[in-house]
Amino acid sequence: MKRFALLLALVLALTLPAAVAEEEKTLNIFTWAGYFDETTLAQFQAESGIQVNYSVFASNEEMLLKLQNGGAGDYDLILASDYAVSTLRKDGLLLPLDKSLLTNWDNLNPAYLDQYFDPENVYSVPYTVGSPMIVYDPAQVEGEITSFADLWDEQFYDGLWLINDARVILGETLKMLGYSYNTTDQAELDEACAKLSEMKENIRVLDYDLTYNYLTAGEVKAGYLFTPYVVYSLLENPNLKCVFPDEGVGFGIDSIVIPADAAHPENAHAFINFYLDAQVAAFVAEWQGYINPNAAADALIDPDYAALECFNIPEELFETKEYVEDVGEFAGNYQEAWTDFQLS
Amino acid sequence: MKKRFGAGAKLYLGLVLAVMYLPMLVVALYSFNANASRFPNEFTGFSLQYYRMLFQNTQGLLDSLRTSLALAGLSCAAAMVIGTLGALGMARKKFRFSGLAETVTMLPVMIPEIILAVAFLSMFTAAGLKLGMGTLVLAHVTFCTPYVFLLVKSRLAGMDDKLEFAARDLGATPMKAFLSVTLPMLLPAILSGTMLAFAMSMDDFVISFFVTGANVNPLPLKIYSSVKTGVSLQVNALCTLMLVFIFVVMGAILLRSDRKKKMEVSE
Repeated sequence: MKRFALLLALVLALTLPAAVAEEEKTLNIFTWAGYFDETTLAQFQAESGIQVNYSVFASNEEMLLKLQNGGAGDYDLILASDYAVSTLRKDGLLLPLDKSLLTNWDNLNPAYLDQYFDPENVYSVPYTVGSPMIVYDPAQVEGEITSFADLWDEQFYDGLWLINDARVILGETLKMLGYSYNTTDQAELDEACAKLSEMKENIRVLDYDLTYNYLTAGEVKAGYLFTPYVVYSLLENPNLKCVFPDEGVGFGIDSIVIPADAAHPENAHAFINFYLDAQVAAFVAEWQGYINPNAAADALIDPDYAALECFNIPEELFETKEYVEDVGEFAGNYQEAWTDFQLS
Repeated sequence: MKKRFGAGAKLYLGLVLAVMYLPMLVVALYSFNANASRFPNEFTGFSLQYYRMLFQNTQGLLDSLRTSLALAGLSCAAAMVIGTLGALGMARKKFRFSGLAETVTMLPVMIPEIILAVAFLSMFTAAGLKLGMGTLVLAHVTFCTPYVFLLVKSRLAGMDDKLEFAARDLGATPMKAFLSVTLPMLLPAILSGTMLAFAMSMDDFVISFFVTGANVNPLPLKIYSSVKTGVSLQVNALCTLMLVFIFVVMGAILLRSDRKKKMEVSE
């Protein structure tokens, strides 16, 4: 028993945190790998003297599961998607931002503030904004493509690339049928699933991975893709055309938040303020390939790049934007419908 | 004279090998890509740039590799000792619940990883442990030990325990009998169990993700989490180096056992 106690003490001594005095010059961030680039991270560390420790997750769901099970203790700053922010906020896991420390706050474009997942932006700072688009190769496609419904055309037989994302693809199909992107009505969902199964033969690739660019290689005629994929397709092949579906657009904002029990909240604020700087935001915008939420940075971005259609949602479509929202238990029904569709 | 493979058998073998190794070849080939764009899909020429970047550690892949190796090394060393001792103890002494205890030992392998992962996380945070290398090792030892245990146990089952008695009868101390009779006979099982455990530990994503803390990123975490922004060819370069290393080690082992066999034959 004595030996066991000794062993326990040893394990505890090895794993318990050393007592912390003032806020040390450390910041533990938690997000997808590569979501903060090496250049700006190095610049921040050099300017502030704060050592950034970068921890990674592969999906919002994993991150949520970890935090909800008490794994939040270590992290000072999290970058995640809108609906994940909404869940964290409702669970009381976030620290309200101290806006007095965020002197660059006014650089943000008000169009991307005060969204459903954090009204008045008490907790979150928009970092990247995206809205999926149809991209097609006019050399291989007859006529002009304007809507999501056009993808059902038989000219796309075995020629489509869709992102493998249940909520985004089913959501847009629901929108096309005139329902909500976030419906919780099983009959509507079934209808969307059946509709989607009709175009099964058109789909060549259902993928979430962007290491192989089917569009620029000419392997598919069209795709329905997230903003960065659109950007890189267009940059590699300027002849490609892109269009927001006229049924209305899907939308998402990846945002920065600080966990409620972060050990280094001041460093986290310094970090956020650094990324709100116009110069830094302009660099990030060109590097990430998302829509830039920083109005002050707009003037600093290469005008040719900023003029790409995927960054400029027409105003009447912007009004129609819908987020993938947390639908609670019903999320399982979406997964089921998606599996049904894939097996159909 | 050994019978030669027929044409059909050769074709089948070739197919199986192609399915197994072609993807790895593609990975290796692309690691030498000269294309430096953000999404280097096209192979534009030969270059060692991704190897150079890998060794400059621009994305911290080397740090992750070091973390993974340390983690797998520590966990397997512990699993090797615990698993072997456990198997020996279970084989030697039967007690009331030994059947039940053996089954329970196998549970970490049977339970779905995600459940085990969340259970670990809840337990570690409830115990007030700081998530990091310590908790990673604890979790990995738990799921590595059954592999060693299982292999050593089946080896023991096929082994005559009279050999050890004979050694004792001839005057060996219990320690001496264990070290020079039992242990050498168990060694192949211990080593293969440990190697299996090592591979499992190097490979693990789900459990590692949940029990790790800030700034401890084992290699699988690092690679999976870059899916959103694109997996760099540095990963291909690293995988190629690991493959080469494994092939060289396996080759050396095969050569050695080949030579041993020949020596035995000539004697």
